[in-house]
Amino acid sequence: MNRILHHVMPNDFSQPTNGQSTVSPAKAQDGFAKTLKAAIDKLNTAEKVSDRKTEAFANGQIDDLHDVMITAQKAKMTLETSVQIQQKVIDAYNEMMRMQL
Amino acid sequence: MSVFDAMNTSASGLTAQRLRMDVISSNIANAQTTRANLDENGEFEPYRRKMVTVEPKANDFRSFLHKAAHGKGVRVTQIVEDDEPFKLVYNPNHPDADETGYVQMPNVDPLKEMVDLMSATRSYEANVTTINASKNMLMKALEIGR
Amino acid sequence: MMEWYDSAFQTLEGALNFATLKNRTIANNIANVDTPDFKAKGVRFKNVLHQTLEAKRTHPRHIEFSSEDPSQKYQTYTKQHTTYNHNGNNVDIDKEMSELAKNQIYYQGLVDRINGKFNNLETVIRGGK
Repeated sequence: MNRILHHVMPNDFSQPTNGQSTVSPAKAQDGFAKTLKAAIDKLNTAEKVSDRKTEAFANGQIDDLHDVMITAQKAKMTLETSVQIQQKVIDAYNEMMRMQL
Repeated sequence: MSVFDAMNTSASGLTAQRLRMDVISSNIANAQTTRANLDENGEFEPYRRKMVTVEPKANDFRSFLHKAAHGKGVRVTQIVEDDEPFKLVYNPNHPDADETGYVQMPNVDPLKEMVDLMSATRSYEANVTTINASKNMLMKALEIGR
Repeated sequence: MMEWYDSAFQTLEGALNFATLKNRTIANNIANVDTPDFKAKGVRFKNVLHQTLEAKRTHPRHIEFSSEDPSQKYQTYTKQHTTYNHNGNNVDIDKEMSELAKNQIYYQGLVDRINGKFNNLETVIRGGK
C-alpha cells in the first residue's frame, strides 16, 4: 500500500514535524495543489497506456488478451487510488481551513 | 499475430482433417468403380486412389523473423493420386474384363481407408478439443478484474 | 505506472504470457499431427546456459539466433527425443492433449490469483468501505 501511495503522491508528508518548522498557509495550499496535480497526472498516464492497449486490441494487433485486461485493471486501481487520495486530501484541507478560522 | 492465433491454428487443422475425410469417403465410395476416367487411348480406366498432402503453414522467411516461432497451423498443398498399380481381379464375365479374363480394379484397399478414416476422425476431435481449450482461456482472461 | 508491482505480480504476468505461448504451440502441434517431417515444439523456461547462448550482437541490426524477444524468461524449442512414425512426424497426440489440459488449469489458476491480488488491493484502497 505504501508503494501505491508513494507512486501517486510523490511528496512525502510523513516527515516528523518538530516545533520549529511551520508552514505558512500559502505554502500549504501550494503543497496540496501540487499533490493533487501529481495524482491526476499519474492517473492520466495510466489511462493513456490502457487506452492505447485497448485500441490495439480493437485493431487486432495484440497478442495476449490477459495483457489488455490486466492493464485496464491497473488503470482502474490507479484511478480509485487517486480518487480516494484526492478525497482525503481535500477533507484534510477543509479540516485545516476550519481550524484556522 | 492476434489474440485468436491459437484458434486459427486449430481451425486450419480442422479444415485439413475434414478435407482428408472427404477424400477418404470418395475413395471408399469408388472402391469398385472400373470406369472412372478416359485414358489416352479412349479406353476406360478404373478409379485411382486419391491422397491429401499437407505442410505446415508459415514456413516463409518473413514470419520466421516476426516471432511466429510457434507456427500457424497446417495447410493442404494438393490432392494427389496414388501411383500404386491397379489391382487385377479374375472375373471373365465382367463387362470390363480383358482378353485374359482379368479386370482392372481401383487401387483402393477399403480396410486401409477405414483405418485412415479413424485416424482423421481422431485428429479432427483433437483439434476440436484444442479450439475449446483456447476459447476457455480467453473467456477466463475476460474475467480479470470482475 | 509500473512501480507498484511486487514481484508476485510480475511473476504472474510472466507466467500468463508463458501459458498463452504454450497453448499456441500445443495447438500448432495438434494441427500438424499428420504432417510429414513435422517436429513437435514445446515451451520451457530458460536456464542460465540457454541465456548465455543468445547471439552476442555487435550491432543492433544483426539478427538474433532465435526470433523471440531475448528478455523473455522462456523460449520455444523443438522436441528431439520422441520417436518418429513412418512419415517423419514426431507429434505424440496423447502427450499434447494432456499438456493442453494441464496448461488450462495452470492458466485458470494464474488468472484466479491475479484477481485475488487485485481484489486485495482494492479492499485496501477503499479502506474497508
